[in-house]
Amino acid sequence: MLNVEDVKRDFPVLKNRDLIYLDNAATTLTPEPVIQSLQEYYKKLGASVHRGIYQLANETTEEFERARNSIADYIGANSPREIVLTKNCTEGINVIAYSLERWQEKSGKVLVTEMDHHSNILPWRFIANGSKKFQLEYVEVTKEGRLDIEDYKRKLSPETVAVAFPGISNVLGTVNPIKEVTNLAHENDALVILDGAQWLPHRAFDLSEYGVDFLTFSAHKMLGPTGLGVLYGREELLRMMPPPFGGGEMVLNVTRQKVKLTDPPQKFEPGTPPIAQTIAFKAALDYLEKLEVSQIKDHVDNLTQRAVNKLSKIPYIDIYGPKEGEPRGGLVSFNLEGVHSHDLATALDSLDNIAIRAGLHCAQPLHEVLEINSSARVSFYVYNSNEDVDRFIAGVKEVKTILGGENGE
Amino acid sequence: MENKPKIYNQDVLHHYQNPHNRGKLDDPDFSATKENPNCGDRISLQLKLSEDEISEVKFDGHGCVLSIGAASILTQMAMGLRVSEASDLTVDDLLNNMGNPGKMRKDCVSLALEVLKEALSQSGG
Repeated sequence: MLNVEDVKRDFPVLKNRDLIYLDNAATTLTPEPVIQSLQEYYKKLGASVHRGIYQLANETTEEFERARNSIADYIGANSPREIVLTKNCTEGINVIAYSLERWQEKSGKVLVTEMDHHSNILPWRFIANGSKKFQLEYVEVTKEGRLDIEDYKRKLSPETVAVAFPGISNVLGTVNPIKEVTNLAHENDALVILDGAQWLPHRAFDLSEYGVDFLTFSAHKMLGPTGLGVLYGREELLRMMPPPFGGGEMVLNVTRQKVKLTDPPQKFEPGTPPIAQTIAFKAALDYLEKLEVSQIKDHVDNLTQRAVNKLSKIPYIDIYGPKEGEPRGGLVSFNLEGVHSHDLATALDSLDNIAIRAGLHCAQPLHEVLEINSSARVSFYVYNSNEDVDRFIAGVKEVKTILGGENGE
Repeated sequence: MENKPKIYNQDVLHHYQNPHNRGKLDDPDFSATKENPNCGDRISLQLKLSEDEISEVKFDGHGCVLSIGAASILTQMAMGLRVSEASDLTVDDLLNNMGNPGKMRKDCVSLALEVLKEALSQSGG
């Protein structure tokens, strides 16, 4: 079991502020080792990577590439050449969408789901809008908040170019059957793009187990720094794909007429990459491995189930997504009858410094399906305790007493 | 730690729970509707002018304490104002009339004001 009090001591923000932080699905707080790593880069390294031919540049490059190796190992990639560093998860999906449209000879449907984050809808929508090759279609979500596999099978065909979906929904918390979705797609020669943003922070992920073609996630949702995302792609695919952006460091040879690109991953990383962030992300991954990912999952699962159990007992609460006891990522979205989610969030912050999310969580199509204007969301991580859940529940009840009984609807 | 403003004072809560000028006008001179894309709040507003003065104003919609409270308070502020005076109202004027709930949720407060200004702009004001 995680010792939460020990973990909390590693997070300076929790020492500097009186705070119950329950917005981890948006971004996580930063532990001391990651802050130290960022400082050390600026204090002891600081050169740019790959091109310098002096000792400092060499050392910086080694640290940077060591971090890339760690990322590759963390997800079970065959090689660090399959790890492209982006500015966030969103950029990774955009790179794939853009590149696929230019390179893929097949034309047909791209399937996304109604439960996707805007970051896994809009890149495909923008590409499909301007394309004669691709059409976008949404796989439906059932009333229970699951991916409708029957609808998926109906929409999937040999003409499907790609299937993009989230491992875990950032609103519903639904844990999607990655293997099943992937196998069905591959039977139809469709590529699979997994949005791993909500999965990677608290679940082990082994590429050899799931076999997806692409995976994207963000460092800052798993204790790493902001400004860094990871795009994994199978090496043979990355080799064929054209890069969407041009610039320095991605080329072997440039004349006034011709360009010869480097191999992946540098081909997709023009310009100076996020060096400090990448090196510090290794410190985050080391920290997560020290806590043990299986322990993190158990801890987050316990907190989430505790919140679901307690919220379910309150009569004026609507919870979205999996029922009590069913698998769920580390988050719960809900509404308090008669209280707008923004009011709930502001009031919890005022009453007891409880930070929760409210609004549409960049998933407006899903809110349309759920027929709600907005929702409140709590999400948990390694430094949250049972007491945090209990104070949140007490806060919700107090807010209902203060703000309930409105007739503003 | 900075002090947090008291966002939900009794006056704003009262307006939220008992909004003034809520509903629709039979034959409005001008009307407008806007949504806050962050949260889906939606306010529509209708008004009638008598010469150059706002003689009647009503709002409708759904939203949080601040957006509904602000709409209710704003309709009271706007009544009887000349078009030019109402067009000059600022978010700070509205916040002052709401007991200064702080600026963290300024977008919620400004929604009603933006709707009013859009309706007034149709009058050429």
